[in-house]
Amino acid sequence: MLALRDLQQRFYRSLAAAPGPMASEHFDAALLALVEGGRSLDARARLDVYAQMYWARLHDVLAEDYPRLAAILGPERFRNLACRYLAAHPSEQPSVRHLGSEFAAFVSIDPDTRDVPFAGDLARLEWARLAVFDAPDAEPLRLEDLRAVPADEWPALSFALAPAVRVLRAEWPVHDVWRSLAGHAPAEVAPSTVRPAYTRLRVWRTGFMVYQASMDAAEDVALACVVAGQTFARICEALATVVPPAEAARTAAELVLRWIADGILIRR
Amino acid sequence: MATPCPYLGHGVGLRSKHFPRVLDGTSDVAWLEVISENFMIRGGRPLAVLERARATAPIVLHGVSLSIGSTDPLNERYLTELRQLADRIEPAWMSDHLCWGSVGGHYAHDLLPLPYTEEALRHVVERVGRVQDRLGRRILLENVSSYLTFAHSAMPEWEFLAAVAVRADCGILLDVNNVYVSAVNHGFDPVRYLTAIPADRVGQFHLAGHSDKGTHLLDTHDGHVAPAVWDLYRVAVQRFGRVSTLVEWDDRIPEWEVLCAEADRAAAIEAEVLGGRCARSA
Repeated sequence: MLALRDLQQRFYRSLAAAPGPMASEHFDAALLALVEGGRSLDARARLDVYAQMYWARLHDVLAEDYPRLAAILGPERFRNLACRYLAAHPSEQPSVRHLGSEFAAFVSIDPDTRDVPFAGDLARLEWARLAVFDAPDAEPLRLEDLRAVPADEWPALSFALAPAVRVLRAEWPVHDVWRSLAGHAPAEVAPSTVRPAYTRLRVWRTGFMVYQASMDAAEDVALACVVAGQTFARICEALATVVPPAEAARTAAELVLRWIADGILIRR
Repeated sequence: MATPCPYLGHGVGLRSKHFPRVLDGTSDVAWLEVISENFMIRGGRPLAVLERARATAPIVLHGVSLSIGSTDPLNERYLTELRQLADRIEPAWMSDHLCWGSVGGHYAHDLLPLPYTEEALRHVVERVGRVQDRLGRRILLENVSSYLTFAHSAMPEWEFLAAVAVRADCGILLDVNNVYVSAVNHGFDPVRYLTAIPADRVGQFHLAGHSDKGTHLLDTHDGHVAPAVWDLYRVAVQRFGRVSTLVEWDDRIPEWEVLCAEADRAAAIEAEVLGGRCARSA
């Protein structure tokens, strides 16, 4: 007989030891000795029901969180990748919502995805969209709020990003890959046809909808200033390094208006 | 303690596929049950949907990760977030499962079986007390489907479940499908199970579909309630009287009307069995 804690440790280790048909090879012998067999299933087969469900359930969570990565890798490669990840990163949170939090970083260095060099960036985009989906709600800054600000107070004005915004910088045009995979068979996006291109993205939520857009250098620089809590005057100064100085203030104002239209700014 | 649960009639589990029904105001059903962990988040569409649903029907929070039987310490952060959700939603009641799912800080995200020993009983009873204190309310614990039993169990599952409920002063969410699945998998009489459960502890029934794998039944929640489970539901209604009943459907989720038709069928069976009788049987 095993103490309850010992039993649970052996049970969990048995489930998580290995995926697939070889799972039962790794079952704990002392645990198996405690499992009652039956007419249709012996003890090992009974424990194997749980082992198969463990890997299948967690694989399904990752496939749901990373649908486009799963599509481009195909079912078998994605399943193998997911199993390697789960072996290295067992769940440590009560909610499966957090299961894939390290997946993008894992994919980026996984040797089996080298022929899909944008896999890590694509995974980061998919995770950013999830993060935005259920980020805290916030009251966005409105155009009327800005109109109430006297002109002489604009230089000292500062903003903050709404919680449901993420900025992503990638080596690959993953927003294009993401879009081209939507609703298409994976074979229609051959990894070899994707060319590297430095890409800046912002991902945000308006109402219940998640959006993403590529940013040019000016928007990237200006948004970085917002994230850093800098004033409108500092945003203009920073923009003067990427657009003609005479156009910096106008560009800054246009960007602020665009961000307000998208609902991604809140009061600081 | 009598069960803390008012009678709500026959409801369905709300999953994201049917969020649009809530948002457009056509989720006409007696009550809704949601998976607590799916809403222990900070904002966005799921919480907005839940608040909208709460305005139209009673909500029950049904957890899957309490891991009441685990030998790990209770997850204080989880309990804090669950309490916050409960304070926000004011559910009709809250429930989780009589099982364990985590050890050594790792979560299996499954409903794993306990040995039915005095050690496990004492352990679970003590933790239920602490959880109920933290949540500020009594909870219901659900019997799970299982695929194995332990040779050193000192009592059958139904005795363990009843003892937990009485000694911890909590309620029972009696999953009729799970009773049937486990009965087939382990070769016991499901009616004997129902007979051993104290009627005044049963606050809710679950109904769901399962899959026949040839060698065993698997609790898949991906189809209609099986005929044998409907039969057992009749026995449950006969034994326990009017108890709020919930149809779970988690995979290959059908259209809203199909889901609600399953709840309507449960209501019709209840009416047929009880006729005008409303009181619980003792």
